Amino acid sequence: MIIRRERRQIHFGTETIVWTFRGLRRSIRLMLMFIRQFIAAPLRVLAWVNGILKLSDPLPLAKAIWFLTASAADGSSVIVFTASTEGVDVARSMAEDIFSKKPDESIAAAIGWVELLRANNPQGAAEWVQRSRSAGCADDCSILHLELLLTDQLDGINRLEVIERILSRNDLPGHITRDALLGKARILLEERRFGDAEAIAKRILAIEENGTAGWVMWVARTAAGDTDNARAHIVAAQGKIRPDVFWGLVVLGWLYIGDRQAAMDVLKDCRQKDRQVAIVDRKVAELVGMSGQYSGDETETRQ
Amino acid sequence: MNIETALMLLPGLVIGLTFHEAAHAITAKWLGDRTAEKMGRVSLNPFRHLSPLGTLALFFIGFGWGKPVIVNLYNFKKPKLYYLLSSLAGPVMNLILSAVALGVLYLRPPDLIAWICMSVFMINALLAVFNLLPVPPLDGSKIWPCLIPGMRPAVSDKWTRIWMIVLILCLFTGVIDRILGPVFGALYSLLPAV
Repeated sequence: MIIRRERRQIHFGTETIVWTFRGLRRSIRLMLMFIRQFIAAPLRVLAWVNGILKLSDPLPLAKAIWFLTASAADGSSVIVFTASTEGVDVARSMAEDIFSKKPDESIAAAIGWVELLRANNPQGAAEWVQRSRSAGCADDCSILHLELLLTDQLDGINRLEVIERILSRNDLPGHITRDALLGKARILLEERRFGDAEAIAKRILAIEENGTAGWVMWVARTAAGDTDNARAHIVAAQGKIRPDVFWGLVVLGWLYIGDRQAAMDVLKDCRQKDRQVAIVDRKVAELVGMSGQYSGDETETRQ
Repeated sequence: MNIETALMLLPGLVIGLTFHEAAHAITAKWLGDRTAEKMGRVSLNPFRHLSPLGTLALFFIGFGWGKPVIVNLYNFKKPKLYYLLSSLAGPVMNLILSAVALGVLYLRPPDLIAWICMSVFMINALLAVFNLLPVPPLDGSKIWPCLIPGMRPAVSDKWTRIWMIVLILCLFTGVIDRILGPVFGALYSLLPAV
């Protein structure tokens, strides 16, 4: 017993020293990071004011902030600003350069978003998802979100599998969980499981105002024959969704309900009133006779 | 605000903000949301919680703030109740710290400890009251919607940004001072006689 206790004490002592040393090193690293961020704080205020008043090109300020902080989050801002001011190609080579030196998921996600939204290149975005994974980036929340949106546009990714992967986590920011829930609700609507989709929409609406969740409620209530309630939901949703996406969703909603004629009527009405209809799904693309031109436009305006 | 006053406020503010934000993060973790934990916020290391901008603001507008703790309401089984609890955790922690510091002050400690306790007492009590104001991004804006039936707990980012500008204007124009002034007076009356 005595020998065992002594061994434990020696072991405990060594462990304590190692633990203290690691803790100290981590604290010093955090302190240095804070000091760098503190020095960059006035520039952040300037960037914030510039963002509101649009006084000048935001790229030089973003670069200066990144130079001071060297943080991946600021690096990803530089990539996004570079894409908008100097073009996607320059942003690509910058991302390659940064990622090869310091692989970080926020860099991969930033250039992935640029590929998806600016270059309309979902394949390029998917490649960055893969690169982030194979580089072993520990944190993956931005990448997961990007992957979720890519499932709308690429056939190679299993939408439900990505959604379930997100919903099984309890350490992701709320907007990612919400988007996954909305994605699941759409799958359920497509499978005509209106009650299950409604339950998801109710869960979202209990937490926040959300146009797409209101639209899900409209579809589910209409399918249940509760038109008064359905109308209240769609009226509330209309102001919260971009008009062209809203009309695209209305068309899609009628297709989910199984009323193709009502969907056609909405399309006809939109044409007469010169309203834009976003192609929010392959089903809508087929209906407007532009199958194959589906570009997943709705990802740009996801709530 | 001069450097001397800012430095006097610093111990109370560092302790107050660190414990305040850590309390939010720990409570959220207990209630099932590990988002803040993943971001390293379940920690009493001040550098994990101090906002560089908030610290800088202390020297210019006389008030600072910490990095907000991100909470995912979808991870809570009872979103309204659990969000209420995690939002209340910060101000409650400040009140506890304030009460402890006041208790120590009544024990007549040495000058240095008394100075730190005085700073902790005042700043933490003010932080608790200030945070209960129903203005985004303060905790009060998260607490009140959880108590009012029919209101949704999550506020959109757009509104938070607008209210933040209003809040900064209120700090600059002295509106907040008018609210906190009487609180400050009441707190002062609680201090032990010298």
